[in-house]
Amino acid sequence: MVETSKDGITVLTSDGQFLFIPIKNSVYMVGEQIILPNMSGISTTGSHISRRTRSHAVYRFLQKRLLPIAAVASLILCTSFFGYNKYLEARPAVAWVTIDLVDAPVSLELEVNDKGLIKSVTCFDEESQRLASSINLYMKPVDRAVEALLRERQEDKQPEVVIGIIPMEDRVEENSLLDRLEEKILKDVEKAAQKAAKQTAKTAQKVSKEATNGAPKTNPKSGGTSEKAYKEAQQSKNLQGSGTQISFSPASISHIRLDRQTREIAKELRISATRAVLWALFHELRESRGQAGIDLPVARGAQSADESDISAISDKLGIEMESETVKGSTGKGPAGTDFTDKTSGKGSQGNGPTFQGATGKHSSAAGSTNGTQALGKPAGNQASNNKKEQPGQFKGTDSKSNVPPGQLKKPTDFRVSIPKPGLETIKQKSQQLDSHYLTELAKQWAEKVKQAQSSKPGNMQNNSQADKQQTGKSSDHNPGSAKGNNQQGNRPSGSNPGNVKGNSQDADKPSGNKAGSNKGSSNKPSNNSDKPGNSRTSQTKYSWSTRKSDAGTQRKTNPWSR
Amino acid sequence: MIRRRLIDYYRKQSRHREIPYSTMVARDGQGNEHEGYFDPSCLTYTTEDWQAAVERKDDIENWKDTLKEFGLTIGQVVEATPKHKDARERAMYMAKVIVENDKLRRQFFKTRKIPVDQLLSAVPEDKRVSRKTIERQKVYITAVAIAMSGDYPSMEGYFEVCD
Repeated sequence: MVETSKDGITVLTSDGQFLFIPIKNSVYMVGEQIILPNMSGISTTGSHISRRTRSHAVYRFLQKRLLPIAAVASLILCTSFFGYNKYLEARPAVAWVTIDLVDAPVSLELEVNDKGLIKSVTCFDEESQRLASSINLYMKPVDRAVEALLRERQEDKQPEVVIGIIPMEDRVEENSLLDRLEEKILKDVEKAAQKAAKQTAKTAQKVSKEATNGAPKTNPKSGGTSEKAYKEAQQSKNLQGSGTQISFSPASISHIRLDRQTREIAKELRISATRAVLWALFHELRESRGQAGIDLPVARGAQSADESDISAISDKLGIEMESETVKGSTGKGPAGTDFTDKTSGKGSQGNGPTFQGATGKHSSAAGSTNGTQALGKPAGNQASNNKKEQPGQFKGTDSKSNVPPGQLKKPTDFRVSIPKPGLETIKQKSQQLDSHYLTELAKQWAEKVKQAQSSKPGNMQNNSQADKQQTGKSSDHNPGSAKGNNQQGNRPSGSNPGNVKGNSQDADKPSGNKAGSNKGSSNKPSNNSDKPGNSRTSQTKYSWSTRKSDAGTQRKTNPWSR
Repeated sequence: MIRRRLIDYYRKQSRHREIPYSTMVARDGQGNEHEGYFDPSCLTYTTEDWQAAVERKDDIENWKDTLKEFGLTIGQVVEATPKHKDARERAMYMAKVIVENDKLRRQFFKTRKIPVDQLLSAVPEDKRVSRKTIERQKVYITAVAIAMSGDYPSMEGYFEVCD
C-alpha cells in the first residue's frame, strides 16, 4: 500500500507497477502488504482497475461512443442531402459567363454563382436554346454546357470556343474571387473539351467498326448521324490517327474578362458581350486601316442571294465581301480574302486590307431586309452602310474580279458569327486588353451599328413586330433569304433577309431589326406558330423560377421588337 | 534518526515476547470474567510483520516527500507508469543507471531533472532507448530513481532489474 484515499488505494506491485484501485472505505494502511483481489471481470483502464459488468459496459459504450457518432452522422446526412443543396442554391450569382462558338451560331450567357454553378441561362440563338431545353443546366457547372455544345460540333472540325467572364459587381475585393472562379471555369472547360473530343472519337470509332463489320454496301451518305460523323471525321482536318484509332482534337478555348457596361451594350444588340467585343475589335482594326463600315446583320437568306445582287452591292461598296464561314476563311479564296491583323503576324493573303465579302446585289436603298449584308470576317461592310461609307475608304479591287465565279459570298451576321481577327487579338493580347477600353470600343461600335440601322429607312425596322416583318426591302434582295425561315406569305418576295435562318432573329423580322433598335426582351420566346420554319426565340432566358412560363410559350411576339 | 531508533526499540521488544496480563482476562457470555484466558486475536500480526509494515510506511512517506520536492505527486506517477512490462523494465534500468553513476546521481539530485544526454551516453548501446522514450517516461524514471537511491531500503525490492 502506497497511499489511501476516500476514492481508492494506490499500490505498488512486485514488478514495479503503480496501480490505483477504486475501493471505498478500505481498512488497509500505508506500508501494508496485501494480496490484490480476484481480477476476473476486472479490466484496467490505464492504471486504474475497475470492475465492469456487461450492462455497464454497454451503457458506457452508448454514452461515450455511440451517441456522439450518431449525432454527427445524422448531422452530416441532413446537411449533405438538403442543407448543402440549399446552401448552393442560395449562393448569390457573382458573374455572367458567355460561351460563343466561333464557327457556329451558338451563343449563350450563363449566370453563375461563386461556386461556378449555373443559376440561369440566356440563349441568343436557336441552337443554344435547343441545348438549354434538352438538358437541365440548373446548378450544374459551366463545363457541362460546354461539353454538351462541343459534342455536337466536334465532328466537323476543331471547334473554337470563346469564354467571356463578366463580374456582376465591380468591387475590388471580389477580384480574387473572380480570378479563382475564372481559373476554375477555364480548367473545367478544357477538361470538358477533351472529354467531348474523346467521346466523339469513341462514337466515330464505334461507327467505323460497325461500318466495317456491318453492311459494307451501306451508303455512308445515307447513314445515320453517327456514320456521317465518321465520314466527316475522316475528311476533317481534325481527324487524327488512322486505322481503327480515331481521335479528335479538343476544342481550342479562348477567354476574356469583360465588364457590366459591355454586357449592357451587347444586350441592346441582342448578342453576347463577348461577341460584341470581338466585332468591336474587328471594327477597330478595320478603322485603323482606313476601312469603315458597320457590320449589320444580314438575313440568312442572303447566303443564297442572287449573285447579281451581291455584285451590285460590291460595286457600290467597292469591296468584296466574303463570308467567314467559308472554309479556309483564314485565307483561302480569291484575292487575299481574309483580313488578317497585321499585328498578329499572319500574312494576309492577297491584298492586305482588302475586304472581301459577300457580293450580293442589294440596292442601296433597300439593302436587305436587314438592310445590310453582314460582313464576314474579312468584310464588315454592309449594304446598309452604303450611304455612310465612302467607297474610297476601302481599298480593294473590283469586287467582281476577285470573286471566283460561282462562288457565292456569304454575308455574315454579327449575331451568328465571330470575326477571327477579333479573336486573334484576344488570344494574343488578352492580358493587355483592359475591360474599360473594350467597353468603349463596344460602345462606339454599337452606336455606329444603331446609326447605320436607323439611317436605313425601312431597312431595318428593328422594332419589327410581327406584322412589320415584311416591310422593307425590295424584292431584289435576297430571295434566298426567304428560304427556310421566312414566311413567304408574309413578305414580298424578295424581301427580307431579315430572317435569318435558324438565327436568333425571328424569321419574320427584317434582318435589320436586329441591330440596334431591338431591345432585347430576354424572356420572351418568340415562335410564330403560324410561320413555319421560323427561327426560335432569339434570346431566351432560362431562369428556373420562371422556366415554366417561358418554356412552351409560343408567342407571336417578335423578340427583337419592342 | 528517530525512525531508526524506533526500529531498534521494536526489535528489542520483540525478543521478549511478553504477553500482557490484561490479555489473559476472559469474559464469558454472561460477562463474568475468568482468569487465565487470553484473546488470541492479538496474535494476528506478528511483531516482525508489524515492524516491516512500519518500516515500509516510513519509507513510503519519506519517498512521497522527496517526490514533492521534485514537483511530482503519486497520481502523476500512477499515470506515467508504463503498462507493458518491457517498457517498465527499460525505465527501471534507466533509473538504476542514474543512481549507480555518481556524476549522474549528483546532477540528478542537484537539478531535480533527468540528465538525458549524459544518461544516453552512459547507457550501453544494446540497452539504449530514444530520447523521446525517456521524455515520455521521465516521471516514472524519476520516481524509481528516488526510490532506488538507497534512502528507502524497503522500496528497493520492488524495482529489481536484471542487467
